[in-house]
Amino acid sequence: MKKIIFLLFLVCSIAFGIELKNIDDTLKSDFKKAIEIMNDKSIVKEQKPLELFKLFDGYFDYSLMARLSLSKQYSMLNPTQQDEFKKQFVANLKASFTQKLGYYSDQEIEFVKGEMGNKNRYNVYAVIKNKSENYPLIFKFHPANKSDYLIYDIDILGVSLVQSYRSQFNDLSKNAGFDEIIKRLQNATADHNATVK
Amino acid sequence: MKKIFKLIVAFPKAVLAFSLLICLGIGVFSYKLEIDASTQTLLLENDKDLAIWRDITKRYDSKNFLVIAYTPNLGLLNQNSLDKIAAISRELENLKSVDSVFSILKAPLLTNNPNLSISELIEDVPNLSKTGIDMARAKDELMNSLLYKNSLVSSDFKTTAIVVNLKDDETYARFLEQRANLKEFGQKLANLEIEFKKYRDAQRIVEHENITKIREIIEHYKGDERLFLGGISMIADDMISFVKNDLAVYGSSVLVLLGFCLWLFFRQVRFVVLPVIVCFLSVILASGLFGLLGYEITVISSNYIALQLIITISVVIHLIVAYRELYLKHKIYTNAQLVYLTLRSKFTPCFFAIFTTVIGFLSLCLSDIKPIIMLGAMMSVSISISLLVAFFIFGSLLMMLKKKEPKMSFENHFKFTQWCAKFAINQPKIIYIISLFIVVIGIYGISQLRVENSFIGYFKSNTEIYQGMKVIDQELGGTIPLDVIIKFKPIEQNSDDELGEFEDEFGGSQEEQYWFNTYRLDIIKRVNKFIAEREFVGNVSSLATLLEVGKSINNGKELDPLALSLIYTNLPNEYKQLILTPYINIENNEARFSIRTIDSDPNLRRDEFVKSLKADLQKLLKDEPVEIQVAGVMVLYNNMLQALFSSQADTFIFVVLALFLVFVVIFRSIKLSLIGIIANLVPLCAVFGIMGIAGIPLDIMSITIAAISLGIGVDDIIHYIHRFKNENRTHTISSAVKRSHASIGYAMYYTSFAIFLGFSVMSLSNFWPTIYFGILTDLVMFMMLLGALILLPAMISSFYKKQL
Repeated sequence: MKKIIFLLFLVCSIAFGIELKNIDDTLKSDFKKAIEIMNDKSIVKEQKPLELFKLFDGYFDYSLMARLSLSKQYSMLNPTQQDEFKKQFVANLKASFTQKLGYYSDQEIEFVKGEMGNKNRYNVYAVIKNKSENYPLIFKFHPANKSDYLIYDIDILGVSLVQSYRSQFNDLSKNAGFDEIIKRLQNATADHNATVK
Repeated sequence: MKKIFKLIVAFPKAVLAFSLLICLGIGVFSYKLEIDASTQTLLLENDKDLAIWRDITKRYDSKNFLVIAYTPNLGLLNQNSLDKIAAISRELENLKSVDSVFSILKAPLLTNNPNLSISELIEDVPNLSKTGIDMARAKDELMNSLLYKNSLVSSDFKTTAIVVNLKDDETYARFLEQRANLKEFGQKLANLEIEFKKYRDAQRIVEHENITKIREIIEHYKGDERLFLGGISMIADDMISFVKNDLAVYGSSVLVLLGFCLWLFFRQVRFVVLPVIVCFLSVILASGLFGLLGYEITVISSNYIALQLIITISVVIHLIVAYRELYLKHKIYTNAQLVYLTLRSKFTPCFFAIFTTVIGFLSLCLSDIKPIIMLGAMMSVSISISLLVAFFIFGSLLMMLKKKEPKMSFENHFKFTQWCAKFAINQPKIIYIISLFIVVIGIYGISQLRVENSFIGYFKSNTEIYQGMKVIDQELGGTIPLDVIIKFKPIEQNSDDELGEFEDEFGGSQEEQYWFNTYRLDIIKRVNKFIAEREFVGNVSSLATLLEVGKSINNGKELDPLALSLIYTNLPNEYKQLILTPYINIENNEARFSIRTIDSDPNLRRDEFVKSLKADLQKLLKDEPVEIQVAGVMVLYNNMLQALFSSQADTFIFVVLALFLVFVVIFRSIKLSLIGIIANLVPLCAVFGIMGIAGIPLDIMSITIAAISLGIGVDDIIHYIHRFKNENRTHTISSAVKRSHASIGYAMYYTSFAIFLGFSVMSLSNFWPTIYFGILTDLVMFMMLLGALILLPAMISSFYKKQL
């Protein structure tokens, strides 16, 4: 029963997504666009991540990611707090991602394959290519709205983004307040502030 | 007993031959006696901190290392200096026992080229051995990076450390582990101990050779520059060298000086040679026995030879003085009669003197520390041996010599003991006032006593090891390591049922790479900062250091948990072992802070430091559900010394009571026994008072001085009262006092003076424990002699009323 309620909730909360059959093609073309953005000398370094987010924002299920990250604690927040958390979470995620992007230079992203993980999951495998090494990347999709799929997690070099966030909160005591949750998130964000090399 | 003495007198040659056979037959095994100065020998076996420490060393890869401190004349970054470091490193790396060498040449210069991205940086890490290095930036990084400042280079950028990582001794570790597992199995354990000992003996030689080779390399490159070797392994090796050297040098010079004193007093070759032979044979027999039993001498028990010499010489001098006295009294007696009478009259006091000394030493066996127990046992055995050897060898040898008129020139010209007797009888009030004064000052001094173990403090400032350790201590981040472990609470999985299968995907067991979270990192940073700001702390390394370094390559922004997860997952194993595994153990959910303390700081109070560090950490993290452990050699040594101190204090009362009971049995007078104990305690009070006031800390060597003092002091008192009672049978108290002073007083004076002179030579050692031991023994001898020759007769005159 809970699952059904949850699915209903998801259906209501999602605006749009990618149809399963289009996922591979969409990503392939978006990766190309991403490389163009990265190589576009007319865009300043600091602006590039923002351009990338514009490209991918549409099929990220930020609500679910925020919720998954906070797990049990999320349901203890009131709706306002949940909204506030989600806002902070997205800011944090973007800042963190932007920063990581700065670790690598001259990289290209390349589509490898897409396959069903199980009946409700679709994974797109890609690699970030560097001069000498390939870094694996997995975009994990779930059916958010019937046939429309959204990303609920990214696996970078074997590290799950959601899992990484969960580890920030999983030792919070049951009676930890909202302030503590936000504080932890802010602590994690504090230094990101869009730093790109 | 009489039968035995008759036997000695009747068959001196057979007795001598038999005694010599035993002494030499067992004595040959003394070559098997080994010196073990490793830290393991000095630890409390049942110390819970030892178990923790062993556990920690097992979990964290902490290599044994030596440090070479190098101060080039031309500056650190001069090409000549760098070439020299490279050449030294190359040669060191060729040594069999050296695992790797780390120096400024290999130090990753992470901020040397700001144009590199992190991925490029990791691909080809810049360091001083590579080309295209910006020297100004390199200097800046070496001086300011938390990784290097005050540890790899000194803050004035003049001195650098070359760290020589030694290969792990896996066999040694395996032995220790097997030994722990075999605790219950007697025979198997015994066999293992034998194998382990063989291995240790062989290993000591290897280690010593290794250090010698490293020293040769250093010597080769030294020139006119400052190049020192230091490190914990070297302390042990140097301690063995110093102890061995001191044993040889001071053992023999004590013997020579004793011989000189004997000549001064007795003016007869026989009374010089005889005691020296007795001393020599006693020591050989005891050492052979210990060698045969597979005992190992530790820094503490290396004292046994000196102590045995003291006791042996005391017994022999009493025998000589008695013989000379009997000779003058009964000139017509044959030599056989004189020897027989000497042995018979001296056996009881000598036996009880040794017996009480054994009680003093056996009190050491009540401590928990193996080397101290060993010292107690070894001393008890060796002085018992001395008693037997003295009577058999002295008796039989003297029998074989012709009767010869003793020369009394010294006694005739030297009236010190008579003066003492007069002073004791005539001025008791002054004596009591002075004694009271001594007791008050003594108690004050005792209250100032502290137990301290400074490794650097063991060596004189002109020794190479001292200078090396001091440079490393003060310029390169400290010497003595200490670990702080923060253990986080296990995490309860937090799951939201409504999330259904997502929860199954993420809610399972936590994988290693997700260990890093802001909460833990925050605690680690806080603890690191807290420790680093503490007094007496040199260098601190932990995950926090790494985070700081990460910040420096990340444009001043902190590495976030995701970045750490990425690093953890993707870092090649060799780097992981270098920078992560020494500081975190994810499996056990804990973080380690590797601290080096500044051992040479005279204000460092180790007990207080360790206790307050732990307490303050607990206060700092009082709201966090974490466990805090402080461990390391420093803690273990401190535990050992504190345990030793308290056990000595606890057993002291017991020993005094036991001595009192023995006195009652020997003297058959409670009053005399009380007087005897008081005459013993006042000088003891003075000795410890002086130690406290002079700031001489009780360490592993000097802490045994109480037992030694009691042992020696009691001897004088037993001999004196025994004699006094004999005299008192036919003389008044004051006359008996005077007569005792004129006879036994000389024996006591000779013994004390000979030992005093003999041990004073120890103050020339380079090893402070030996120096303190010499000085303190001298002080003990002097105070005890005054106690027995002045305070004791004064009290007897005042309070002992038994008249004829």
